Amino acid sequence: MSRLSSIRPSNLVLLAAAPFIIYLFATSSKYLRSLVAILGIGNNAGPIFVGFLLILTTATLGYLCARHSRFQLQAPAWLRVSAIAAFPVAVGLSILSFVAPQILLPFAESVFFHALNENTSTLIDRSSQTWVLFPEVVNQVQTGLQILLAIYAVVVALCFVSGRLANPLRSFVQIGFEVLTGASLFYLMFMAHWQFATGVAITFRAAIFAYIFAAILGLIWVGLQSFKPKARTTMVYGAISLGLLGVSTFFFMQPQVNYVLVGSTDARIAIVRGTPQAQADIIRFGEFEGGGEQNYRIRSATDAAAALEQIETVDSVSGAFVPVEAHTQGYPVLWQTSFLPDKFRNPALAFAVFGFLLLTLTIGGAQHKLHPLAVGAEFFVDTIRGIPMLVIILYIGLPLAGAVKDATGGGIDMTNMTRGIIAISVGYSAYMAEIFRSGIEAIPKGQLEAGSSLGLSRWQTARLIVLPQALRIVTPPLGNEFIAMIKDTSLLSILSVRDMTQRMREFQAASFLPFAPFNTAAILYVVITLGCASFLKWIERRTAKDDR
Amino acid sequence: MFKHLIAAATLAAMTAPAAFAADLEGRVLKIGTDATYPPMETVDETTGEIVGFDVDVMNAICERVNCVPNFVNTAWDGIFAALQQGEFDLVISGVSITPEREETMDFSEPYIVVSQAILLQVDNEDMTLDDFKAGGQKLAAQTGTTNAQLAEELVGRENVSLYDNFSAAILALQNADVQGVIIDGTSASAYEQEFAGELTVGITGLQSDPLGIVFQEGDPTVDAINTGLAAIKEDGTLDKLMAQYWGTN
Repeated sequence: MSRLSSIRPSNLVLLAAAPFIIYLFATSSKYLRSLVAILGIGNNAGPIFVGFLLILTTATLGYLCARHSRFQLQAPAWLRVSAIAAFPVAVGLSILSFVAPQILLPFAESVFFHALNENTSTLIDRSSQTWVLFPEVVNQVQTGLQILLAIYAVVVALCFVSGRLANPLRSFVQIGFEVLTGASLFYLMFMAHWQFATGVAITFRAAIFAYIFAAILGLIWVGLQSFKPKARTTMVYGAISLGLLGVSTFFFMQPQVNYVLVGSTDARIAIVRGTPQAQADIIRFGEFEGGGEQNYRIRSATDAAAALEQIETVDSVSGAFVPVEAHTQGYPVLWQTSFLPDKFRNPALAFAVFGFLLLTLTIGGAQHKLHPLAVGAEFFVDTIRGIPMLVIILYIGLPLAGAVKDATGGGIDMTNMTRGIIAISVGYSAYMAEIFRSGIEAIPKGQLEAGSSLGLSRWQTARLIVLPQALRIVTPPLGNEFIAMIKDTSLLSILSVRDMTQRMREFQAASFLPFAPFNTAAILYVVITLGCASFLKWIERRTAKDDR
Repeated sequence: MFKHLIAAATLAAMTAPAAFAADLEGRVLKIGTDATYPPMETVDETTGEIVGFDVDVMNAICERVNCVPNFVNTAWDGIFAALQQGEFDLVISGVSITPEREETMDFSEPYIVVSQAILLQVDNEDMTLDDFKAGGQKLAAQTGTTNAQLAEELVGRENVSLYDNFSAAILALQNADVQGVIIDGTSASAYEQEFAGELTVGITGLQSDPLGIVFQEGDPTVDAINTGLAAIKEDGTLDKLMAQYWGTN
């Protein structure tokens, strides 16, 4: 009863409504179908969920065991019980993976499958409509799972033994175990593919990761804003920006390449892949001499030789735009141009932009006695706050991620989910920075002076005096941001991320049901946000335990 | 009711030369689609797979030219931006071939020609096109579609309500926020069946649009897909699919 009376009022309302909601979902097939679609309950969800629960239980107990071994003396009873249970459970699971692998395998298989690159991986059998892993790969996954679980059981056993070691080695080993078991728990909760609740997993994970990154970025902006200019700051930064502009000039001075447009413009014009967009556009819109400002169709070719070959071999191609030296066939030359190749032009422009920006910041900072980086951080926060989240997501998710992919030669090819998370983090980091700043500025100046008069360094003052008090002030608005983020994850559908809202739309279209999907999605979002809000309230209570 | 539609689906002449071996060597094609458009593409509730006419057409083409389709579900809003960024190899999503789109993207030959229609509430089933043109009536459509362009031509921009998917447009019609929804005839009948007694395809035979498969500008893959498309037109696979979906032949 005492527990019931300590429940937050809004949770009480939800709890009171819960039987009705459950009754609604249980009795109405419309709602049940909506729920299945929006949660993203995939094929074979039952067996996968069973495997997940078993592995999750073991991982949780293992983590608690590692935690318990560090704080043996003041551990509460429940922690002690979990720690004792951990080893037998881990051993049991390991034995289970040998005796009855079919119980755990569905989950392991689905996690492994979704960790692969589905378009290029050679481990996937694509012969039928539904893609699966090759049987021999499944066997390898099974062996891998057995090995992993056996290792995990050993790790849990070592957690117990680690108490016998002598300090300081003991504390290092114990922290190591806690990080290790914590990481595996984190992977299960936030990284592994959840075939049994894909939609929820995407929405929730996108919000959590974006929140963590946004907080880090926000702290960075605030840190930059607190920089104070020194006597030589303007000199140093001015020199750096001029240096950047110098590098840019160097790239601009590089030799240009000569290209010719050959053949005729009766049909399509072959363009070599990697030709700068600006040049391709000149051809497309007929802006070259004798082009007559009309639109021409183009066709991509892998290299110059292939482009010239297409004039002969492909009926719909009559011309080609190639480097001068490649053109030896003696086709009529329609137009000749020279330009800076992209490998020089891109760095030249990038350095020019950065150099110019830094120069502007330096001059602006010098005028107002501010540090250039502080001016830059403030400028960033102001700009990002003024751009709608949808635009940020589109911009970072498509052109910017594409540019990163090109610049690294395909080395950094982020998934759509990652791009979306980065976009939301960047967008919200601006708000977070303002929240942090307000919290820090709420601390009276006298306290800083008191800190320095006690002989604390700037860093110590920040860590011991400012941050503890500021955190207490910023907890409620930070919680607000998190809830706003959960709702903004629904914008990720433009990056082909199928979150709960996107699944709701799909289900609506397929089933022609107007309101059941809406209501179901609303209920689910409310449950998630209320859960998060309660968690945040609990954090608030913990941080503000003693004084207010 | 779709007899005229199928009759209008003329077989386009093939332009790809025979020198072109249409074999994509088992390449996995990333195909963008907005699966909120019955019966062209929707997500099957029970399996979670994307199904529909477009999907069947693409599968049939891939059988002929040896490619593996991988459908990626994405919102209509960003679908062409993502294609041009190379996120997808092609887009098949009931896309009409228009001169404006052809300027920035490449289309395959048309695989079906659809005429647009207007869905009305049953109470207004005798409304005519002239009633809409006379003004004061509102039309709904999906953003960035040829349906939206036609709606604008008919009643002017200020009387057009655009929604990001058709389910929302249909809801607006049910609420009587708008008097009609402009939609491709192929889908209109699906909605009419589903909302029998509430909605009706009151006005048909508006502007006809050929639908095509969309590629990045200059992408040579289009030739192989065109070859496959010609093959399924020739051996009747495409007609069979149309008959299966719209019950006419």
